[in-house]
Amino acid sequence: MLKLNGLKKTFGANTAVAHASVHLNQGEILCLLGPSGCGKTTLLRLIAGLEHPDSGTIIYDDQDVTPIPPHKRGFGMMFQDYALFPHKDLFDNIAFGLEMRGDPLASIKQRVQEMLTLVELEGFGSREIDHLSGGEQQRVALARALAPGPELLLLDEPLGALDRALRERLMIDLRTILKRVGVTAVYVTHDQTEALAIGDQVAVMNNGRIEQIAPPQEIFAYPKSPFVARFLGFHNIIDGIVLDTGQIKTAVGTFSLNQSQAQTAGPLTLLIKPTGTRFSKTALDQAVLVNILHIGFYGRYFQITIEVPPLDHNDHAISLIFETVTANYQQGDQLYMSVNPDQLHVF
Amino acid sequence: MTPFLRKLYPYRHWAFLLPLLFFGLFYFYPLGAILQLGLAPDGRLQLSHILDFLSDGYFLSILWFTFWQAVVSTLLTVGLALPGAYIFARYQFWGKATMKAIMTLPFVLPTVVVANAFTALLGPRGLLNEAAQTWLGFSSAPITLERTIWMILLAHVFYNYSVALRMISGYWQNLNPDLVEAAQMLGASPWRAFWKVNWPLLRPAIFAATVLVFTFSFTSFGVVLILGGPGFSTLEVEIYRQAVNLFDLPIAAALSLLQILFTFVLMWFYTRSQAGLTRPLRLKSARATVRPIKTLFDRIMVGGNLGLMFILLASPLLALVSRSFLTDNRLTFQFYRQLTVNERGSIFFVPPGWAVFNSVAIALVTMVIAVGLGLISVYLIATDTAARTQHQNHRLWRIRGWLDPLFMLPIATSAVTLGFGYIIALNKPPLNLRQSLILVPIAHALVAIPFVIRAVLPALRRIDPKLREAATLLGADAPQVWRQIDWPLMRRAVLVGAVFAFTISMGEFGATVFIARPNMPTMPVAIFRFLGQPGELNYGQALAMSSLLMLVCAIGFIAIERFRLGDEGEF
Amino acid sequence: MRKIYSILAVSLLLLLTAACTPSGPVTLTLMTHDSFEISEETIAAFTEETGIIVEILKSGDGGEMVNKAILAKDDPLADVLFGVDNTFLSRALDNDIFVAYDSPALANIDASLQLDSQNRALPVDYGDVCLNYDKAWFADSDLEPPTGLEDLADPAYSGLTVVQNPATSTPGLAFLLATVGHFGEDGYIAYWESLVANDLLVTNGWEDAYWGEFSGASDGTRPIVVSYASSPPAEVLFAAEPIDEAPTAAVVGDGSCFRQIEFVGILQGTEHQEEAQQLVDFMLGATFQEDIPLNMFVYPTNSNATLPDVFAEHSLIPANPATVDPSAITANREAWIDAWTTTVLR
Repeated sequence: MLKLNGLKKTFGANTAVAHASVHLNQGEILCLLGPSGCGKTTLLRLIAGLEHPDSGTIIYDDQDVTPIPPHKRGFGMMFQDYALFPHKDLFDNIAFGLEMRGDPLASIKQRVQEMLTLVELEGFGSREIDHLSGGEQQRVALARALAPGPELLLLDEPLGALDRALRERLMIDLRTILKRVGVTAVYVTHDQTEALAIGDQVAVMNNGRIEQIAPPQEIFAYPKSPFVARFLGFHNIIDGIVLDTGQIKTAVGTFSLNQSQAQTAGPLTLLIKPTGTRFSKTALDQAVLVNILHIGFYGRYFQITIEVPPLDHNDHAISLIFETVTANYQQGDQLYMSVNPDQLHVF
Repeated sequence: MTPFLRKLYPYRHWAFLLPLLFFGLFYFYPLGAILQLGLAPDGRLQLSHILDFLSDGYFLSILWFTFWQAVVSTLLTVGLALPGAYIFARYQFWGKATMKAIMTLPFVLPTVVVANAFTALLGPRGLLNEAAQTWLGFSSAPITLERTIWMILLAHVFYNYSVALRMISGYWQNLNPDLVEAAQMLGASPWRAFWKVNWPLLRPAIFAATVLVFTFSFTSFGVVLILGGPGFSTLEVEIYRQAVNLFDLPIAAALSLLQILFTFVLMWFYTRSQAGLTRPLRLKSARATVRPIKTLFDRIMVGGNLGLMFILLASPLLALVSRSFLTDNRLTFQFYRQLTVNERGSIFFVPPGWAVFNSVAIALVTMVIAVGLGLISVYLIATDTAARTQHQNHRLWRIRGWLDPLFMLPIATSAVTLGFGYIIALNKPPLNLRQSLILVPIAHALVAIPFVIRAVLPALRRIDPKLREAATLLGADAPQVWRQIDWPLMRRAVLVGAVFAFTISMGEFGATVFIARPNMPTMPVAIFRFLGQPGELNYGQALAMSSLLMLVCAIGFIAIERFRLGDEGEF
Repeated sequence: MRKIYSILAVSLLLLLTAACTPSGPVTLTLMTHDSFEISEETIAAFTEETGIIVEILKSGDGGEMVNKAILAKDDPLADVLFGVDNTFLSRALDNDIFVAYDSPALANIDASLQLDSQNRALPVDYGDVCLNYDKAWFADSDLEPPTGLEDLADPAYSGLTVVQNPATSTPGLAFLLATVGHFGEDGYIAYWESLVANDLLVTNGWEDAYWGEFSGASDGTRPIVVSYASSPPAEVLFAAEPIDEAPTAAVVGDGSCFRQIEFVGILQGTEHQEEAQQLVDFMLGATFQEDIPLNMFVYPTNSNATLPDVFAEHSLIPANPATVDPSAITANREAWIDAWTTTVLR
C-alpha cells in the first residue's frame, strides 16, 4: 500500500531523515515514535509532500507519488495544533477539502453532517473556531482531515496539546474512528503509550533512522536496541559479559540463556523486563543483595529504586527501577533480589 | 480564478519582475539620470561646490532641524494614535466606520487649505482665541502658535495620525485578547500586560507605522513651507529652493541623494530588525475580539480618544467645511453653485463632476497599480518560510533583503528631483511618457506602493504556514490556497494599503510630483487654480472644492472598506 | 459638456495624427506656468484661423517652468513657452532655449517692455507687484493707508505688513527688486532692517500671505500685503456678492512697485517653427491680448488692445514703477536674496 524506499532529507548540514524505508498495508495504522528532533515529523511531511526528499521514493498504491504536489496526493493530515482556519466557522473548516474537490453543495452538506456525527459534534456547524474547547478543536481537525475521504491519513501529534485524561480517552476514540473509517494512517507521537495503543505497526526513530519497525506486542517483547527499549519505557538496561562457558555474567547474577544461542565471548547489553525480578528480605537462590535508594508512591503502584553493587570494583554501582503493587520496605533497607533468566532480553 | 489565469500560474515567478521593472524604469532610471546630471555633468564628479555647501553651518542646522522635528513629530503621532488604535481594535461603537473615514481626510487636503483651517481655528482671530477673549477675559489672543515649531508638529500629527492608527488598529484587532487576560491573571497590571504582551506582539505594526510617519515628517515640505514659514527649513524645502528658485542642480542632487541615503540606511536597519520579529500568530476574527462599551474605563477610553480625534482632526475640517458655506457670517451655497459656471469661458474650467471623475479615475488606476505591484513586492520581500517555496532558496533570492528598503525610497525622494529626472530620462520611445496621461497614476503609485508594502507585510508574515499546508493537504492548489488562506487573512491589511493608495492619489495635486500635467484636471488641481487668484469667490470655490474632495474621499474610503469577497470575518 | 466632447475630439484627433502623419493638422504644444488662464473662445479662434491645434502644458510655477524647459532643451517638451518673466528671463536666455523671432506685432509694443534685443523672448503681458491694503481696516483706524514704501518703516505701521520670501515666491522677489530699485543697492538692506524692526511678517508664498495673513481677504491680522496692482479689480470681479467698490487697494506711488513683464518665446528644437511663429503673432495680437486682463489679471503689452471696464475702473497702473536693469538682476539676484535672507530671516 504505502512504501517508503530509502527516503533521505537534509536541512543544511543536519540530516533529518536518513534512509527511511517502510512498508504499510491498507487499513493499517503506523505510529512513528521517537524523541523530538528524531525526524519523525519530517518523515510525515515527506509523505505528505510538504517537504521534498533529497533521495528515495514514496510509492502509494503501486504509484510513485514522490513528484506529485501535496494537494494532488489525496492524503489527509491532522496538524499538531490543528491549524484550523480561524477565519472560517466549524462547518466551513470541515467543508474545505470538499469544496476544493468541487463537490456540489448538497453533497458537501451531507458529508459534513456525517463527519459531525462521526466526531459527535452534531449541531456545532456554525460555531466559530475560537469558541471551541481543545477537545472539540481536535475532533474538528480530525473531521476536516477525514471529510474528503483520504486513503491515507497523516497525523502529527494530534493529542499533544491535550491533558492526560482527555488524551487517554481520545486515544481510544481516535483508533475506533480510524478503524471504523478503515483509513490507512501514519501517526506521529513521542508518547509510547499512545503509539502502542493506536498503532498496528510502531516505528521507533532515532537521529533520522528507523531503529525498529514492528507490531506493538512484538516491539514491546523484543526491542531491537537499548534506545528502542528505553523509548518504549523500559528502565533496566545493564551490561554483561559472555563467558567462555556461554553463560552471561552480570551484576545481578550469572545466567544461562536459551534465547541467545550464538553469543560470542565479550561484552553485551541486556534488558531486565519489569516482571522479571523477585525481592525478599530473606536470602534467595541466585540472589544479590541490593540497597533501596528510594520508594515513590504512584497510586496504583510503588516505584522502587535500588542500587546493585557493581560487577567490577572499578565500576559504579548500578541503579535499577521496578514497580511493585505492595512495598513493605523502607528506604535504606537491604533486600535480596533474584532475576528470572526468561525475563532477560539480550540486544 | 479563471482558467486563463490558472494557465499563467506556472509562470508566476516572472511576475516578480513587474515591480522590479516598474521601480527600475520609473524610479531608479530617472533618478539616476538627474543625479548624474547634477553631480557629474561632464562625466566627472564635481564636488568642491557641493562640499562647500555641506560644510556650511547653514546646511548643518537644516539637517539637525529636519531630524529632530521628525523624531518629535513621530513620537507625538504614534503616541497619540496608539490609544486610538486600541479603541478601534477592541471596541464596538456607533459611527466607527465613518469616524475612521473622517480621520483619513487630512491626508488628501492641500497644505494651503489645511493652513487655513488651522488659522480659522487657532489663528489670532481664530475661533479659540476669540472664544478665549470673549469668555475667559484675555486681553489679547492667548494662543500664539503661528509660525512656531508647535504648528509644524501639530500639522504633522494632523496629517499622519490616521496612518499610524490604521496600520496599528488593523493589526491589533486580530490579536487574541486572551493573551492580555492571561498576563493579567499572572499578576500583570493592565499597563504591564500591555508592555509585556501587546507591545511585543504589536511591534511589527507599530514599527511599520513609525517608519512611515518618520519618513513623512523627515521629508516634510508643504507643512514646513507654509505653516512653518520662512523661519524653518527641512532638507526637502532646501532641495526645492535649490532646484527651483536657485536652479543649482549640483546642490539639489547632492541633498536629494543624502536624503535618500539617510532613509535607505534607516529602512535597512528597520527591515533587518523586522524580518525576524514578525512571527506567525494564531489569529482571531475581529468579530471575536471587539466588545461593547460597558465599564467606566471603557467609556473613558472611547470617549477620551474620540474627543481627542475630534479636537485634533475633525474640528479643523469642520471649520473648513463651514467656511465654504459662509460669506459675511451668512449661509450661502453660492460657492458650490459657482463651481459649475464657467463665467469667463476659460479653457481650464472644469465642471466639478468632471473633476471628481478625473480624480477618482486616476485614483482607482493608482490603487490597482499600487495594490497589484505592492502585493507582488510583498511576496518578493517576505523572506520567512511563509512565502517561500523549495526552489527559491537560490542565492539570487538573497538580494531580497535589499528590496524592502529600496521599495521605500520613493516616499523619501524629493518630488522636484524625480520630476526633473522624468524630463530628462523619459524622452525616448518606448519611454516617451513625459506628457502621457499614464505617468500620473504611475507617479502616484510609486509613492503609494511603500504604503501597501508596509501595511501588508506584517499581515503576511503572521500567517501561520501550517494553515497553508492544511489547505494544500485538503486538495487546494496554490492559487486556491492564496484565495482561501492568504487573501482572507491579509485582506484587512490590503484594504488599508488600498485606502492609502487611493488617498495619496486623490490628494496629489501634481505640483509635488512635478511632472507635466496633461489636460485632465483633478480636484486638487482645480483647488489650486482657484487659490492662485484673488477674490472671495475664488477662495470660496477653493474651499467648496476642498469640501467636495473630502466628501468624495470619505465615500471612497467607506466603499473600499466595505469591499468584501465572501463573508469570512474580519482579518 | 462641450468641454468633454472637445477633449474627446482632441484625443481622437491626436490618435489620428499619430496614425497618419504628416497629412493631419499640426498640433502645437504651449508650455506655460500654473497661473496661465485664457478663454476657450480665444484658443478656438486661433485654431479656426490657422487650422493649428493648441495643447497647453502647465508646468509648475514660473521658475520651475523655466528649469524644466532648460532640462528638456535637447528634446523640448513644447513648441512655444509662455510666461517667463523678467526675473527669470536671464536664466532662460543664458541657457539658450529660445529661437529668435522678429514678430511684426512688436511694432505695437512699448519699447520699454522689450528687454531682449535679439527678440528671442517677446513681451506678452505685464503687471505690477505692489503693496495692497485693507480699506476697511484703515477706515476703522486713525491711520492713513500707506502711500509709499517708506511708510512701512514708520513705527505707526508696526506689525501691519506681510511680505513673501523672495527665495520661494515670485511676487516676493519682485518686491525685493522694487526695494532695490527704489533705495538703491546700498540702501535696500537698511530699509529691510527697519521693516524687521517694525515687526514684519514673512511667508513663503503668495497664497499663504494673501489667504492666510492679509486681513482684507482672510482671518489674518495684517492689513498690508505684497500682491498685484490688479488684485483690487479681481476682488470686485470675484466678490461673493456683487460689489461696486474693491475692499482692497494698491499702493502705486512712484518707485513703490516692480513691473513684472512676461515673455513668450519659440523653443529651440521645435519641428513646427512656422506654426509656432503664427501662435506667437496671435498671442501678441488684439484677440489674445484683450483676453489677457480678465483671465490673468495683468495688462496686455499690445498698446492697441482695449482694457475691460473693471480694469479701467478699479486698477491703477503705476506711472513710475521701480526699475532694475535686467542684466543687474542676472548678476545679483542670488546675492540680493542671500543678503535679504541674512537680514530678515536669521
